[in-house]
Amino acid sequence: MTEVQALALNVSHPQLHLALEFRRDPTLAEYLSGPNAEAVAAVSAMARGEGEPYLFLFGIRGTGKTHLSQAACLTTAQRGRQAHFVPLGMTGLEPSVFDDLERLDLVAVDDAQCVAGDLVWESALFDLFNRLREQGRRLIVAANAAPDILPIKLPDLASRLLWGPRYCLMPLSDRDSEQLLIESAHRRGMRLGSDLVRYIMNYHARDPASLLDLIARLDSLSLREQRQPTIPLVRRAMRETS
Amino acid sequence: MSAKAVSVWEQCINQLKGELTSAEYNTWILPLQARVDGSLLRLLAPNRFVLNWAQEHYEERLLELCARCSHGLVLQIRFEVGAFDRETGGEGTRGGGSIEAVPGPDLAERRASANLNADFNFDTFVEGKSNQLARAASIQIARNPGTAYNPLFIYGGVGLGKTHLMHAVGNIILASNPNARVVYLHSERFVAEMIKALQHNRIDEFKKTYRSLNALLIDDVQFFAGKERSQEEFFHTFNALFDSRQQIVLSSDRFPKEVAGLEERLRSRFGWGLTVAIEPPDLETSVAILHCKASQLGVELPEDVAFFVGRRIRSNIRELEGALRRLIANAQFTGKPITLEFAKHALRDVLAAQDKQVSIENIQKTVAEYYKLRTSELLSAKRSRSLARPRQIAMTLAKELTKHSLPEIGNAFGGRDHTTVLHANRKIKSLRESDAVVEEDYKNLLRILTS
Repeated sequence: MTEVQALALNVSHPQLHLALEFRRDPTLAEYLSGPNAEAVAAVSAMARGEGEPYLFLFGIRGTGKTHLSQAACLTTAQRGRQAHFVPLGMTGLEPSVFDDLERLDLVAVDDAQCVAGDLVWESALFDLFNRLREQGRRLIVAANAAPDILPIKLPDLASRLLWGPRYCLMPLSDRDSEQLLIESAHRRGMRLGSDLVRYIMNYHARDPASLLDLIARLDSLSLREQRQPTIPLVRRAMRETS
Repeated sequence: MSAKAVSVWEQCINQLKGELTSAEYNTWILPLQARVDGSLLRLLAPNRFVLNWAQEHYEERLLELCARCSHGLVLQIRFEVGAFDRETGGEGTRGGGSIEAVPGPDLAERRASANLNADFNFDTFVEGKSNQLARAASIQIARNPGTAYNPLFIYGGVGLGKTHLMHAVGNIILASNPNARVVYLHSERFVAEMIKALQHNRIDEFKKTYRSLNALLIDDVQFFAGKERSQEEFFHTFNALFDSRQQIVLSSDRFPKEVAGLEERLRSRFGWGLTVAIEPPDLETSVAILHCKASQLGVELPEDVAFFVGRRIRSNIRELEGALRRLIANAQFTGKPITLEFAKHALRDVLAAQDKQVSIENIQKTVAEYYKLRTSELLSAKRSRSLARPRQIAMTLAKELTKHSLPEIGNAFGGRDHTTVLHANRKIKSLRESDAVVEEDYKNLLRILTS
């Protein structure tokens, strides 16, 4: 959605405004690769239907595992192929969410640590892995720890999770994070001066997810109030975030 | 998908996108496929769970949006499980039916129907001491299905090549007989297909399909454990195939008699033919496997790199392949040649996890648990046989799996001298050759520590 459309909607549906502006598609281009360029290249290849049949992404919170997994699914869909993103941390999921997914071109399973140690889920993931592999489909698994560190009980699943390249996503340096702030604001038509960047970096959580979240809220406020971001506006956006 | 459907659906989901988090959108809306039939929007979900969720949470909103985006033309939504064929726009079937092995001239098609992977063949299976019997038996039955050994039961730890051998057998049978009907599947799939057949009242068809095969290859039969109805059905399938001299190949992570939760009549049948073990590969075999896999990926691997990776990753072949793929991806990405230094750097994530896992303390704890001892006993000065043997095994494992010096290892074992470590190492080496129990214990511990 363009800013103009958002603005138009804002006029007629002010109550929808925040939600509408907050949502943005995670894209591969938007992911500031920094130290993770190789992982991004590998995920992009999979989204194009090339490269590895399977890979494992891991890293601490805020390193972009979810962003990359979702972006891979969206890119696959944009190319007219089918993909499914399955965040295992979501409440209410059951193992039958994996049924028949071997018909899709790409499946991205996020937060795999949430089911480690649960034999029913582990068996379901193991079965999904086998079916996708047999059908030549692609799979991305992401978790907060390396596959051999996760407390997986089923040895059959553990060995399969090791069966491909694994990428440890590294946190961005402060310099890369500043770059992320500037680029993300620019994409939304906002200018972020160095004083604002410094302010955010000093007072706000610096992981990419939190920074992007803040920029989205800042954008929303800036649109609503029809003015470029200032430190007071940033402060308000931070209060909304918290 | 018709242009009209694309347009209405795309407008609709573009609106909905703004109201959902990206996780919600990508999980429940992205996998749906849409088609407009008159005033009806048909939405196909990949499975029942996604269907129920999407229907429960989004149907009302989608209906509103559809009516608006289509200017009142689309007034109904129907959720179904299924998929539209991408090329033709026709509808695909879902569930079951994919195992029909149709005889015909197209080997690739028959292979796909049989769930066989062409890359898993005997040429790409690296022979070593750890798997030579299993390989030889597999070649035998591939050449003489139904007559050589029936069933062939292959057992061993995860990631050691059981599945590879099964596919290789299936591929040969399929290629040498244009009418052969072969199916490879995992025992979990057998169970799932059977349940689906029962649900859709197609159990007779299911029975007929499986009982009329020329070769049935079932992987990981330990997953039949506790599933009585599936065991019953598999028992009859087994008998039908066995009686008509059709080939059965089974695999498991353990010896047939040790598979818990299986009916005795199945367990005993599993042992009727030939039972062969696959052991973890020795270093030389690991290195040969790495060379073979690298050459399949179009890369020549220097000898020192292959030894480095093979020495560091001892648990299973899947992990070896995972590390190799990571190494090659890294080399291609950076445009650098694969040297020993490069490999050490590129695999630091992989190796860091390994290092973390195999510490002297971890070895002591694991060995003590294995022999039901306390770690303090293992480190004590007592020299009774029941303590000395586990202690010697633990020292040998510490020498094998860690980079600590021998004095350091001796020190970690209650302040012993490095010559004690050397002695332990020699003693265990000779016992592994003469005493099957020691050999078994050592291998089990090695597997526990490195997988």
